[in-house]
Amino acid sequence: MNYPNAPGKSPKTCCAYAAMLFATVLVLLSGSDVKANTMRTSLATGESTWFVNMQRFAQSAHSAFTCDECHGSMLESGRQHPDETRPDFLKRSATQAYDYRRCRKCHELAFKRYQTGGHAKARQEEKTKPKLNPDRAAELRTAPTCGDCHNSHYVRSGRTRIDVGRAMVGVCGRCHPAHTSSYLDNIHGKLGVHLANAEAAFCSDCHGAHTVDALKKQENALTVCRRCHHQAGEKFTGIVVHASLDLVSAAQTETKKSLVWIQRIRWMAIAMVALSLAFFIGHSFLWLLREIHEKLRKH
Amino acid sequence: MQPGPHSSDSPIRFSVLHRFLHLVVMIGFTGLALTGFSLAFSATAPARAFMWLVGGTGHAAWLHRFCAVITYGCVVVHAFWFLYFKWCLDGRWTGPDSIFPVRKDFKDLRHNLAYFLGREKSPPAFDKFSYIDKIDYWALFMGMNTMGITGLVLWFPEWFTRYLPGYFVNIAQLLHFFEALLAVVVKFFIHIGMAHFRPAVYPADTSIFTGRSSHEQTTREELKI
Repeated sequence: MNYPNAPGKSPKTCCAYAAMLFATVLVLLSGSDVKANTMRTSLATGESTWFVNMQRFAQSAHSAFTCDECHGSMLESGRQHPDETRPDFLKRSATQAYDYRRCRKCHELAFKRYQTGGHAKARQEEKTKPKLNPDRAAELRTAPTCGDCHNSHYVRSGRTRIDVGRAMVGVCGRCHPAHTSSYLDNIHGKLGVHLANAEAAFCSDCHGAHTVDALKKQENALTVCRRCHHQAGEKFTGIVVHASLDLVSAAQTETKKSLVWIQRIRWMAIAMVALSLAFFIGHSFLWLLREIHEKLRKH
Repeated sequence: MQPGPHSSDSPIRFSVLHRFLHLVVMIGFTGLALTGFSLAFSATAPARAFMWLVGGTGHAAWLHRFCAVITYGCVVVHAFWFLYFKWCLDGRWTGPDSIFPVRKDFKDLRHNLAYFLGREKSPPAFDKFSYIDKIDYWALFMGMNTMGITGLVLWFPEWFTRYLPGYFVNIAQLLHFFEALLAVVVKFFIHIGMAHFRPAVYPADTSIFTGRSSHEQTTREELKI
C-alpha cells in the first residue's frame, strides 16, 4: 500500500486523540481525588479525646495554658479521677463530658452568640423533647457545643482565612454534608475552597460562626448578601446557593419551586447537549469512515 | 496527492474581515474555555494549576470578561458586515450563496448520510455553504448569544435580579455551563477534527488563514467526492 500524502500520519492523529482522551481521564480522576482529600484533611482535625498529644498541643493556640486553667483541679470540682473499673471508662465522649461553660472565661462574645444561635436552640430542644430514637441516640450526633466544632487542644492560631474556611467546610459538613456539597458546586465554594480566593464567602460569612442563622427569613438573607453584593435588591436572595432539593423543607415553597425549575432546565440542557453531540459525533464518524474508504479504494 | 502551496490565483474563499474575525474568535474562544472551565472544574488539579498560572481567580475573571467582550464584539461586527453585504455590496441573503437554511439542506443531509453508508454513489452537490457549514455557523451564532446573555446575568446579578427572580441566575449559570461544554467539544474536537485532521485535508486547511481555496477543493476533485 502506498500513501503518498504523508506516510505514518494516522499514528500521529491517533496519538493526538489518545493524548486528548488521556488528559480528559486525568482531569476526571484528579477531580474526585482532590474533593476526597479536602474532606479527609478537614476531618482529620478531629475532636478531643481522653488523651492529649502534648507535642501537637504545644503548637496549638492554647499551648500557654496549664491543664487546670481549663479543666480545674479535682479539689475544686470535687470530682474523682475516672474510675478505671467502671464499664463506661473512656467510652463516654470526652467532648460530651466537658463543661464548655468554662470557655466563657475568655471567649465571652462567642459564647453569648452561641447561646442565642441555632445550635444552642437545637440543643435545648433536644433536652426538653428528645426526638431521637433512644437506641440510636448514641450513634446519631446531637446538636453541637463548642468542642464539637473547635478542637481546643490542637487548633492553631494565626491561620489564614483560606485555611480556616477550608477546615470549616469539613467541620460543618460532618453534620451538613448536603450543604457542603451544594456549596462546593456553587461559585462561592469553588472560589473559596478550591481556588483559594480569600474574598469568597465561607460558611460562617453568611450563616455566622456562633449565631448559626439558617437565613430562612428574607430580610436576614438580604443583609448577609449585601455584605459583599452592595447593590443587591430583594429578589437577589432568590438565588439558590445550596441548590439541592434534599435541603428544602416543606415550608420553603418558593425555594422548592425554583429548584424544580432549575432541575427541569438542567435535564433539558443535558438532553440538548447529548442529542447535539450524538449528531455531531455520529455524523463525523460516518464521514471519516467514508473518506478513509474512498482513499483506500483509490490507491 | 499533496496539494501544492496555494497559488495567488486560486479563488478567494474568505475575505480579510472574515479571516480577521475568525482569528480573534479563535483566541477569544480558547481564552474563554480555559478560564471558564478552570472555574467550572476547579476541584481538579489542572484547573488549579491554570488558575495559579494566570495569577489567581481575579485575573482569570478579568481575562474571561476580556475574551468575552472581544469574542462577542466579533458577532456584532459580523452582524454589521451582513448589513453592509446587503446594502453596499448589493449581495443577496437568499439564493445558492446564502447561509440561511433551506429545504435543500435537509435533502442534502439525507443524501449525504446515504452516501456515507454506501447507498449513494456520490455526495450531494452542495451550494456555496453545505448543511454542515450552516449548522456550524448557526450553532455558533446561537451559542454566542446564549453565552452572551447568560454571561451578562452572571456578570451583573445584582442588576438583573432587580427585574428577574433570583433563580434565573441559577438557570443562567446552568445554561452557561452546558452551552460551554457543547461548544468546546464541538469546536475543539469536531470542528478542528473535521476541518483539519480529516484525511482529505490533513494536516490543516489553511484557507481560513490565507483566504485562498486550497486542499479542500483540490482534494475533493481529485477524489471525485
